[in-house]
Amino acid sequence: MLTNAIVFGSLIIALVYFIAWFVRRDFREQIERPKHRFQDQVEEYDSQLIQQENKS
Amino acid sequence: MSSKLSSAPNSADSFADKLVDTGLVYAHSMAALGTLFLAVIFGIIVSLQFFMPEIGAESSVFTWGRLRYAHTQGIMLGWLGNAFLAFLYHAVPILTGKPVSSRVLGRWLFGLWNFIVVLPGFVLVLAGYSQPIEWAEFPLSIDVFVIVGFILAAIQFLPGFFRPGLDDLYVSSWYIIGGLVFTLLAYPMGNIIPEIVPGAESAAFGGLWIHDAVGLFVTPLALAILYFVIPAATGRPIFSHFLSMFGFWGLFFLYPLNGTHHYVFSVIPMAAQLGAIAASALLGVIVVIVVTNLLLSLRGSGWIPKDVGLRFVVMSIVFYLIVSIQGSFQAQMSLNQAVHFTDWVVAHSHLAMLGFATFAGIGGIIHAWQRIPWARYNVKALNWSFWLLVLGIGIMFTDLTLAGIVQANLWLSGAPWLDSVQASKPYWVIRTLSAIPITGGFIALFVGLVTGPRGTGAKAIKLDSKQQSSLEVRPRLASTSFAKELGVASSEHILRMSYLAASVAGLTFFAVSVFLLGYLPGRVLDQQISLMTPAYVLRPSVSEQRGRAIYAREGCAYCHTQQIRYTEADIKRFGAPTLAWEGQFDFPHLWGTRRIGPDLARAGSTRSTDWHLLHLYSPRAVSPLSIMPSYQSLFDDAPDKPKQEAYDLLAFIESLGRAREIAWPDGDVAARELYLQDRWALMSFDAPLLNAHPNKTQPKGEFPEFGEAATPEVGQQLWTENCVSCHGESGQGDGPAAEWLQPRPANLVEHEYSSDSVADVLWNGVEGTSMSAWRDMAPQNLAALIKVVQGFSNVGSVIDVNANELSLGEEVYTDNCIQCHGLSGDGNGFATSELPVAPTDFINQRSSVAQSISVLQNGIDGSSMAPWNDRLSVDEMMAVTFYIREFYND
Repeated sequence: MLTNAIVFGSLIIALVYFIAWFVRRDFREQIERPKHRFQDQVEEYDSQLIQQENKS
Repeated sequence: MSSKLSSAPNSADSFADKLVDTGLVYAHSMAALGTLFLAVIFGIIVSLQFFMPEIGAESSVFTWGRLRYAHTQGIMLGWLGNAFLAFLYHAVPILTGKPVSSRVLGRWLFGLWNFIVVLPGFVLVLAGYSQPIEWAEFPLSIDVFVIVGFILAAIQFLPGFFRPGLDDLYVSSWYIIGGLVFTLLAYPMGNIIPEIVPGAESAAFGGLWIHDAVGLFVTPLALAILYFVIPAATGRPIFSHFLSMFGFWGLFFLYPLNGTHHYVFSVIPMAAQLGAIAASALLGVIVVIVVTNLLLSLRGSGWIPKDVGLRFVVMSIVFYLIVSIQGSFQAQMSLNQAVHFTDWVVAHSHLAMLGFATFAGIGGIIHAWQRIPWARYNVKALNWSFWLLVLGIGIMFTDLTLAGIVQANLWLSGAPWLDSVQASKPYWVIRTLSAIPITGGFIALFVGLVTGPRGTGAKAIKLDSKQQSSLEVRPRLASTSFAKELGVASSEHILRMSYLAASVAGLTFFAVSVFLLGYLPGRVLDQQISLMTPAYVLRPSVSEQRGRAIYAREGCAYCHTQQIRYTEADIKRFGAPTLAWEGQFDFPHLWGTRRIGPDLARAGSTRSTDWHLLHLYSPRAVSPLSIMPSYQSLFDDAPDKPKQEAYDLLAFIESLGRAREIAWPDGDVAARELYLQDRWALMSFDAPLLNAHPNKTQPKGEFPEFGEAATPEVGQQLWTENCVSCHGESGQGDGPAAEWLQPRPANLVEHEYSSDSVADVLWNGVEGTSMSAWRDMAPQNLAALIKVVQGFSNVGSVIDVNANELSLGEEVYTDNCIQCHGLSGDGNGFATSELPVAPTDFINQRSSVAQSISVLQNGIDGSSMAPWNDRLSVDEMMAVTFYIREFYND
């Protein structure tokens, strides 16, 4: 009973997630967006850091 | 450290310090290394004590158990806690685009974490104030401040994630939020609930915390580092944010459901065990997905990236994959019944904490360090650090895994316990040697962070960014149609909805795990306890309760389990599996998760009092191969001068298994009827020697045929390893333990024994003495020992005994000896049942004349044999000596 709940619970979470990803292109884009934004943030931080180091 | 906080060169003016509090990154990194060195030193001493157990024996502070407590808590809270905080001070401002809540709060948190939690925690556990709960060994007074620390950390780091204008969250942010929030929930659950629910229920919650400590604290924050450093160092986004979020939810759903896999084959309801086993297997699948995503994110960077921080991260991913797959497999029943409690599990936990988490922590620190403009940076030393640590951890993991396999095989084979200890020693030596490269690696890490020119780390960033930027491909950003379709104006609203959904889902996951693996099993166990408990169960006495506290304080449960599992090997070796009611007075449980020594659940009444006292004072005096630490601080300089604490500890040990033993048969008969359909419960009722330890000393009389003897060499080796400590090398009863034992061990030179007599003693032990039963030895080995024992005999021969002397001897014997030794000399007189030590059986044992006279003159201390020199003349003593020799019939 408990084992079934865990296994099927996991499968349902996985299925919902993957179906949404396959069916919805905008979901795919939406969910991938944070990695690009993070990339911008981290590179901006590094570039400003390096610029300041170069000045000093 | 604190001076660095205020004296960082131009720190207030630098770009980095406007967003990131580099002083706190520096301070927590140094504190991490400081506590790491302390924890490693504790670990090295502990590892040395496996084969040099006398190290620190004279001090109560440096006993194995206390150092082990300090070692694990130092690694988790001191080293990893500080390393994660250092990383958070760097990462959170970049992830949120704003500084952390308060620099002042940061200094308070630093002070609290290191000077109110970690250092006092070390001092208290070494001073004997602790709680015997795995990964929760700091005392409850410290736990309060750990919780305050997590609350302060949440206030410090989390508000930025909820600021207006932030319209999505990167996966590292999710892990940071999840890690801090759920540790805040899990920590009190794991540290406090096991103290207030008994035995098996306490273990169920303890098991939850063991896995939550790794799954909700260490793993999320380590993964936050991996997901942060990889794109930052390679200059490219991770492969799939979708997969990373899939992994996030999978891990947070499944990790807390793993807890009960620490107690497979226990009395905790099988449904909870199977659920945890299934969750463990599924977790392995999720980790494969997570690791695949991480490795794909590294594509093009090579297996050994030039960036040292990234290199540590790559190795952390490799360790994470290995340790997770290993964890999934070792939770499965077929493997678990063999390797659980062995060094296999110790290898697993070291790979998790010292491999995966430590490499992630170092990767995070180095990455942040490169971005502190005023910090020194010595890349050569950091390279050395990497390779030394990989080497050391590789050796340790391989070595302990092999040791675990060896131990598992010996335990399954039924070989005597000390065989596994003996076989493990070479592996334990290698484990200690692996500390050389590991310590060298940590020293090199320290050197790498405090030497070299300032700002060299930033130059490394510039170089790498230039190298990697050409590879970067930016997909277009998301459209807003998804937001519109969901009926919200912007993706910022989606984030708000995500927070809500995540909070509800996350809390539900955590609550589900506590409900399914803690509360529900607790209800079932409560029911079992109420139905199966015998009508009258002795509550522990005050002395036993004090002894239990000493047992807990000294970490005895970390070498000796108190849970006999529902496995054939356990039942055969330790007796009937543990039932829930047996631990109804145990707050918290002392089940343990490792067996270096044997299980003690039924240890009561298996040894004599003076054996126990000598064993506590000087374990190798009675058991030469034992590696148990000496507890001389419980005595006034001699084993026969125990302090009250030694008596209390002894009282507790003697109480182990007592309730079950005296419950037989009534308690079990009633319980069996109630649980006829429960095959696990029935295993507990059908154990061969129902309620006692299988090796318990028992009345003389019955023993099996031992068959053909092993070789004389084997016999001699067994003698040296097991018998010399009491009987002496030449069998004269003058081993190092002899003077502390009453009655003294037999002088085998002065006696002649029949084969049956020796077999009887070896199989059953001798009640009332320190001679224990050796039924755990293979029959052919016992047969070999019989030959060794008989080989010592040199009783000489008696000539010229005349009829008058024999007649006088018979008269003396009839008047004075038959009450105990019996008319026929078989040691079975009518008074025998009242005597603590059975009288000598003269039919199967013959003493030399000198020995007999000595016994008649002096009696035998510790037995009912009194001196007879005030009642018998020399002639009478001589005559009865001759007479009893006539009984002997080999």
